[in-house]
Amino acid sequence: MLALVAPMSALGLTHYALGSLARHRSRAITLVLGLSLLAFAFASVFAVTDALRGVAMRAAKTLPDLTISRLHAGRPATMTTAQVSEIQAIAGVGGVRPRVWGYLEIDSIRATAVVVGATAPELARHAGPVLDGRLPTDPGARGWVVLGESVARTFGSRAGDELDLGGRTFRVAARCTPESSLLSADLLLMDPHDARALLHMAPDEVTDLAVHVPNEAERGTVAAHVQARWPTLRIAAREELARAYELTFSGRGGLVGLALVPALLALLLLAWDRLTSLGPDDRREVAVLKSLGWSTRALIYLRMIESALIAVAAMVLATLAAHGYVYVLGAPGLRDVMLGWTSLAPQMQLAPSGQGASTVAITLVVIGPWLVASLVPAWRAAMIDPAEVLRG
Amino acid sequence: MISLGTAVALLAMVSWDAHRRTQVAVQASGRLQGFARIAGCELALYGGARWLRHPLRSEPRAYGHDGPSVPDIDPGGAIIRPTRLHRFRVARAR
Repeated sequence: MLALVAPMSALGLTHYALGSLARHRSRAITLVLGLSLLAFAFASVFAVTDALRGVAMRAAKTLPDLTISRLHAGRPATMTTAQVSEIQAIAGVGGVRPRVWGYLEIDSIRATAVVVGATAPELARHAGPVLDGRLPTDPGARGWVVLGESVARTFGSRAGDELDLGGRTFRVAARCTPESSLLSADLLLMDPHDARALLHMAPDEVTDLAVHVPNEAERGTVAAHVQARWPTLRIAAREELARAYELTFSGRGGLVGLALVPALLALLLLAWDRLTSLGPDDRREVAVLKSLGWSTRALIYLRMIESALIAVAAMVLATLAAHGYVYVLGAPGLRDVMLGWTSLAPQMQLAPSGQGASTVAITLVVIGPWLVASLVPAWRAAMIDPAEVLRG
Repeated sequence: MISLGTAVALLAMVSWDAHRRTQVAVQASGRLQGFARIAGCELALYGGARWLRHPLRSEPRAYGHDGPSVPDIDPGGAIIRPTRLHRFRVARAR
């Protein structure tokens, strides 16, 4: 807007607008507080959504290129290792890793845990930094379990304790550190043989296959080949999971944000009313300025600059408050609404995704409509006939 | 001018803090990559809601059901926790 007027005029108008806001201090403060409160609410929702999306996107990078599972009667079902060697032989496939995992209802803590089969050497090699305890050194060792962060917290178990799970006794070899909570909260990691026994799976049964295809261009071909050879298998690409998460968190954020729209409309209505109902002093000011030679366009710019200054002040306040509320305090209250309640809740530190999405979003959702809503009142105020007002 | 300077300084501090937090999160996720390959990279936000704990693996074509204006087929986690009475009834039923 300032680009439409000469630089010196823009500076002069801004200076005059600041003076005008100072003269109408109470009105300006009310509008800044109202707008910043609303922008803060939107910014907080967007910031939590952005943080969750960032976490999911970073985690999704570790997904297998293709995840293959079997469908039976339209439902996911376990599969055997029969296809492993055949899939491994397909041109372009770098590796196939059969995975054993499933859900276990634990009555004593009234929670559903995720049982994952992994050998002790595998865990030691890949997960060592996030485990607190000692894994068995014997690759064939059985009867050990690594507890996820929230499961360990809920049970109050430490490394070396014994734990009854599904009618079997396990020795707690290690527990996952709080740093891994977002991934490990509800996990029970154990030897694949124990995992199969606990999940009532046959010795050659697996839950799904993680397929690595090094060349991105060949993933579609490999997926099509597998699908044509085994129509009952379902192939999911990494990008599809990333998209599912993106939509899930954006959808949740959108629903909570939608609840704030009536508040936004109410504020805009209030602002419209405040800006259009000019008092005698305001009308006189406009009349005097016009009689001094100010054009209607300059008066419209003046009011728009006033609105823009209010918007900038509100946005600065909202950004500061939302940052403190979400990232420093951890969004108490809002976090529960956004994430929902769960019995094995992970501990997590919210952090920005680094895309600046929330700042752009509040500008579009709150500040944009505010500036548009103040345009017509500015035009109406500038259209006052000075002679009529000055004559009284 | 003082207000403007203060606002700019505060925004710069917030921007720096946001950048620092992002870097810490990126480094932490880097440390978790090996673990995620073994244990799965899905977020443990919704323990009981299988569709959201393992969006692709637990519900056939879950990603196909999801999209703009498509309602959640299995919204995970309750907005409010179950009441004590509910937990008592569940416990008694068991």
